[in-house]
Amino acid sequence: MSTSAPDTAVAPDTGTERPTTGELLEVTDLRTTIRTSRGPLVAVDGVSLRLNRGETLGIVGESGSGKTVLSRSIMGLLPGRGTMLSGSVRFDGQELVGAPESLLRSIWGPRIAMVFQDPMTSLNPVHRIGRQIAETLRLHLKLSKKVANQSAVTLLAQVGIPSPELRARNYPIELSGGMRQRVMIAIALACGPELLLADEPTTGLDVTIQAQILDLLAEAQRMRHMAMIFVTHDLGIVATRTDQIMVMYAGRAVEFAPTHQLFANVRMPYTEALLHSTPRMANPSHTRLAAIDGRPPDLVSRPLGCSFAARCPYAQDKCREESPTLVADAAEPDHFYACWYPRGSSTPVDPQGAPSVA
Amino acid sequence: MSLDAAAPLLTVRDLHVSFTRGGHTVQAVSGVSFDLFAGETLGLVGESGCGKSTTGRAVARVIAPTSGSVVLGDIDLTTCRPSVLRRERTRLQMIFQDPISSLNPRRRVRDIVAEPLDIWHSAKGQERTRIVTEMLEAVGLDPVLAAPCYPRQFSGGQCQRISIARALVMRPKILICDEMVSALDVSIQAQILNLVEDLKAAYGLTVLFIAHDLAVVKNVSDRVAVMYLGRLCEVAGADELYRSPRHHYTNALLASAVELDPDAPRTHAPLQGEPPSPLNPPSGCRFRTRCPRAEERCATEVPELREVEPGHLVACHFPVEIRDRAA
Amino acid sequence: MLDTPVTTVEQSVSDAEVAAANAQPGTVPPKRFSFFFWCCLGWLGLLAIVTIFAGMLHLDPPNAPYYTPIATNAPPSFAHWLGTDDASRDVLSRLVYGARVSLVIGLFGTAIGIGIGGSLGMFSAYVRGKIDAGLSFVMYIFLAFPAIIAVLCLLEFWGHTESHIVVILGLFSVPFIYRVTRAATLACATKEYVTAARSQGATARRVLAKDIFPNVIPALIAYTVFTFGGIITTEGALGFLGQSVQIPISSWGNMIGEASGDLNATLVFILAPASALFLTLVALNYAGEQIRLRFDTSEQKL
Repeated sequence: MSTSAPDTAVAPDTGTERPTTGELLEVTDLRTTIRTSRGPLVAVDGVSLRLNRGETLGIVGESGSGKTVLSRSIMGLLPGRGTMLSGSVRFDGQELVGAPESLLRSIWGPRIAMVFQDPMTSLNPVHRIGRQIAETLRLHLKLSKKVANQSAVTLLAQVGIPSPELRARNYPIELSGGMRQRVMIAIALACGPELLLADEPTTGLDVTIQAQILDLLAEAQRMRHMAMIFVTHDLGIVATRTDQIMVMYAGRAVEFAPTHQLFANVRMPYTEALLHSTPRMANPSHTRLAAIDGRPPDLVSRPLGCSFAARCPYAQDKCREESPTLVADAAEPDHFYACWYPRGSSTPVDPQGAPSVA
Repeated sequence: MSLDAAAPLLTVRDLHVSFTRGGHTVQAVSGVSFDLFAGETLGLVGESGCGKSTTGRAVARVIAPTSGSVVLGDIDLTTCRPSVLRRERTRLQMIFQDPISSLNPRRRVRDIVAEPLDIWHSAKGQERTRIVTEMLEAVGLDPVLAAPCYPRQFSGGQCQRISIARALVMRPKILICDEMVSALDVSIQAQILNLVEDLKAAYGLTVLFIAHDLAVVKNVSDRVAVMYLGRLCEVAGADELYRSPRHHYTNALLASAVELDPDAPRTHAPLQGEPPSPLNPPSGCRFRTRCPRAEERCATEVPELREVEPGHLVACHFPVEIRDRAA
Repeated sequence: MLDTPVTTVEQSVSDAEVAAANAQPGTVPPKRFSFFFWCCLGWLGLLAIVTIFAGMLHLDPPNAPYYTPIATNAPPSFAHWLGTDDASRDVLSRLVYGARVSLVIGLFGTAIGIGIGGSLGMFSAYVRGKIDAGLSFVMYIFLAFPAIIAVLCLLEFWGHTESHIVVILGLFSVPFIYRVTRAATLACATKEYVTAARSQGATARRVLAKDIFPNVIPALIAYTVFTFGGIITTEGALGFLGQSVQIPISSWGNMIGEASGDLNATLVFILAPASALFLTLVALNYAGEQIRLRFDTSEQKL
């Protein structure tokens, strides 16, 4: 959402000059296969995306869609054994897939950072939080212990934690969920990354705290000209805070468009069904929700054809036989979808069975 | 929806629940009173730590309230004899948040659903099987396939359906849903919410729906009650509450909620800071430390729930005026 | 639309499961037991059969000496498969009857430990409150006690017979089982299906029997096996010190003890009981661990 940002910016922490426009991340045909007890599971099946500096991408999907695995795959943060990564992830021109561990470790922290979902398990419970922040500063920025500790306190203040000097000496268990998440964000922002991957950072937090955390992320992004990938299951969060949205289903990207276009011209029936089945506050009470029947498919033994065909009210024979590829919309070239009979297209299809709306 | 003007089905008066742990006393619920009328769905909404789940459990007598009364029909569940309480339990059933841990992993579904029948020896043999089949069908599961399986073979949404089937076997009057859809995906959530609406109509249930998701609560409820730090802030009809909230906390809560509209204006978080610790709640009105309208009177005098409009109760000395309302 | 259960083949995998698979690569739980597991069970089975039917094996009586000079400390031969010891007793038959002693002590000692420790643990965890606090306190005192020394003293006072050893070793394994059962019961008692059962009017006894006990059993089975091995080891140690059943009755422990003190003993005389003990313990521990993995993991899949 950078409006009139300068062409270069000084990274607030490292002082180095960085460009603020241009392409930052290019993912091409990323495929992640995980070995499970039942056989290989293709968690991410050929996902491609592009992200410019300073932009925000929202990745939306339900559980089992592969969105978490995708964010970890982009970063390269998967355990070596039992997972296979293919495709390409180019971060600022640097190829990350297959890169040696040492290169990845030099990037994690200063250039790409991640905020995880559950701060209780993501923070080390036996170290004080000040130390956990200082640790990353000392590792990557080579600061001395004293300077690192001071910087940690400053960072805590920046993320909105009151009495940061006192809080730096607390253990994670002494903080509330919202505070812990702020600490996670502080650790992620410590070395001034160019890309922030936020994996469900507000799930489980109260609505009022969520609003504060989202504000904090937006502010940090604006100040640091940081790109952000926001992974969530909540379409509402990404509706107002992203430039682009990617909808994932069963490991594949099924729709990818600039935010406004996605909501204005939904093409993929799954996205449409998702929007219809989300309760809205604007609806009167007792509105019957259009629920999607059935369940997401098994990722170990994929069905032939479109993964959503079994649950799609508009499914035709072709949908069950052939798997649709991601194509650009004729009218809106930025809008990609994977559907043989997209909604709102020039060849409308009558629903075979209407969605369960009263 | 016009409420039944007859006597309420369930009356909760001045409910207090406190927990003592290692010398510290946490007042989870401090003086909650409400009525539940037959056939309605009352939504109980609030953030974590507000005491809504504790209220639900105290009403269901799963935990014992420290003081106060819960009157079902004409029996006070807090003071009756244990044998009477045990019998009355079948009229109040609960559905819990975690679908997986709500079911005994070592028992088959047909035994889980028939559990209340076995406890009360209400039905045996063919009759028992018939009831189990009927309930499984009512919640949308194929009885032939589902009955002999174990819970681990089902997804979260299906487990929740099994819990509902189990709860409805004894035909309870009141169903207390404690964050029942919070652990489910959006698409499954919609299925379960629709199911509860259908079952409510089919079995004549009254529902107390506890949740933290404002949109979900609005969707299922006739009336909504908002809780903060152990006390009720506001009770009103669902549409009325969301359209014109009168309590400052409700106002902030609604303003914080995310909307599914990309054109909605992005406002800053209306509430800063963290809620106070329940170990040491503020005196007087508990919201006063974060309230934009707090005055001296708020610190000294506890605001009582009073009716500002017909059917709309607010516990605030200076409720939101119509013109102050957030858009 | 009627929904069908997901069978294990079609089970849809959530992000959480994928993350779990990620987190522990290589510890994929065994779908079926390995060949080694069946070998272990085979050994234990063989042991059980041999000790039960020892009388039918036409072995020389283990305690009756022959008093022929040739037969003393003889190496293995056709007549005596493992040779004889310094009192001309057949080593093989001593081994077999010694196995009987060790296994009987292990079995009944474990039964006492599980019976008392298990029921106290479950009761304590379900009831909570002062009873739980008091009982736990007593048990932890017991645990802190140096057991082997107490056992030695008690046996000295009470007499070194098999039944005494069974009772004492059984009682000293109670605190360990108590602690494990209590922990497993606490984990179950906080689950919501217990709350649901109570909210339907189930009595405490029914909840314990139907909901808690079946879920505690898997953990208990594994620890039963470990306790069994532990008691056999302790008996072996006591026997080595000469404080178990007294010679001429043989147990593996006192056979090893005897052999280690005797310079004229053949290698076989030490190796036989030591190997038997070693193999039995390996078999018990490995089988117990595999069973534990199998049962605990299927619960984790939930």
